[in-house]
Amino acid sequence: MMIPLIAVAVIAVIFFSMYNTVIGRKNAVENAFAGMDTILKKRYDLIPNLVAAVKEYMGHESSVLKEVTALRSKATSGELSPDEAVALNSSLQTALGGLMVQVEAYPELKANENFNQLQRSLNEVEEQLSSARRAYNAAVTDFNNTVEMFPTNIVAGMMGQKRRQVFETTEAERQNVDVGGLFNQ
Amino acid sequence: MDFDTFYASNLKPVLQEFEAHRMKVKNKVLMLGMIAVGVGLFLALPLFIEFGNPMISILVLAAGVVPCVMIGNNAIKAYKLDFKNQVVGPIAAFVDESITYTPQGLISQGDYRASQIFKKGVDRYTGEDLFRGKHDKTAFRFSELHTEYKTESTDSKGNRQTHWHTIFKGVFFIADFNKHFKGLTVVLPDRAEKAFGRFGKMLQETFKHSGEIVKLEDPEFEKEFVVYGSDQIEARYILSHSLMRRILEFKARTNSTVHMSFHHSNVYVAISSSRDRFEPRVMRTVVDKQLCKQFLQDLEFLLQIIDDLNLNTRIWTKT
Repeated sequence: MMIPLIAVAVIAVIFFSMYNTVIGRKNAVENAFAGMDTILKKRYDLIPNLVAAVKEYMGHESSVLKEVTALRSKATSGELSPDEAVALNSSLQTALGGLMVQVEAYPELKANENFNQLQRSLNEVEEQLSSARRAYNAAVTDFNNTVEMFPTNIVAGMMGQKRRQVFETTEAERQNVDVGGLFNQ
Repeated sequence: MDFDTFYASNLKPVLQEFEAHRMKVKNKVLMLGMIAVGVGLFLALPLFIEFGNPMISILVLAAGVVPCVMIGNNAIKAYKLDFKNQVVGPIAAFVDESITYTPQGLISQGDYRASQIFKKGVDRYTGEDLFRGKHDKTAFRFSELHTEYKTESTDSKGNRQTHWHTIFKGVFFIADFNKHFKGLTVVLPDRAEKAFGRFGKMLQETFKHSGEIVKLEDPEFEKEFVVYGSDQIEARYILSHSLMRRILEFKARTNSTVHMSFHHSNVYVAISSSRDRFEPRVMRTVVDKQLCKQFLQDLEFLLQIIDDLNLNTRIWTKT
């Protein structure tokens, strides 16, 4: 009489601990994503200041400036799915990179204290963003291991959890920066 | 000015003067040694043979030898301090004018605790040879440090015995880090994973040093070190891909155990080593370029940490 009861209890304990592992890993992924979101907001906040500082020197007609501004307002409009946000932000990153290359042609701008500070802030945000991405990927890898490895895969399957995608560098980031092309824009 | 010229013009005259001082100390030490041996051989030993009671001999020995050792030690200490002030100090200034050198100074216990690298409570805290300065844009300070804890045991006869165990012995280095951060990130040698593989990793997750375990992408780095942090994103912000590589290279260069932490906007580096650096000799001549070169190399090696970790690159908001 006792033995089956103990067996059931043991199985239940194992099941719940695996269930909790899956939940914990899933929350870690969400938490990492939220962390990335915070830093993306920092980047959005920085852009108007940067654009204002650059405008004085480059003039309004610069297409890169327009592109950066447009992408930012799209990103902050609010109705974006995570996938859209990711795609938008990688275009934004490329555009910002292009802007920084163009800045090289304006020595007075580079000497500007205010701009200098903004550039440092941008460097910081970009690096934090890449760290957040790495943190997210680490969390997703942990989660995917739980979802796919035996025996937690059984529990995860019952919970309907599926493997998630890690961030990969976009096609644009993988290509070498075409400096000449950026100047001709 | 290169070091050879500096040695010839600035150090050699001082060292030659010092040689007389050294000879005096050396003779004193030899003399005291002879007295101590004499007391043992011609007083304590005959007394023991005469009376057969070791107590008297021990007392005589203590009365004769202890003062000798004390006097000798004091003479050596004074000599070393003098030497450090007049030779090691100028060498430090030669390397970088900003450096100030305090032979008897040491990294404070507050700094040591703030690093959170070693969590074991300290019962004895000693150190010497404190250097502080600013290398380009990076303020730094380091010293030799030896921290210990004690345990007490009672043997079968009821005698209490105190045992001292080393927590850390080596050079403790603190520098201003080039990025802003708020939390704590600790980089420790990965003993468990090396010894037990996957199981070791599980152990590390169970017995955390502090905060959460941070799994990094660089497999070689993961094999050498285990990282704990209060914030996953911040830990990765600090430990960029390039810094991980740099730390690995630095570790290979030191060829010893390296603990690190990032806290209170500083980077703390604890390099284990049993060698006593920046010490003059007593028994052999000090008018020796090789000896001075050794001091120079030790100093440059430690300053190199700043370049190794790329701390002078200030492209972020921290200037």
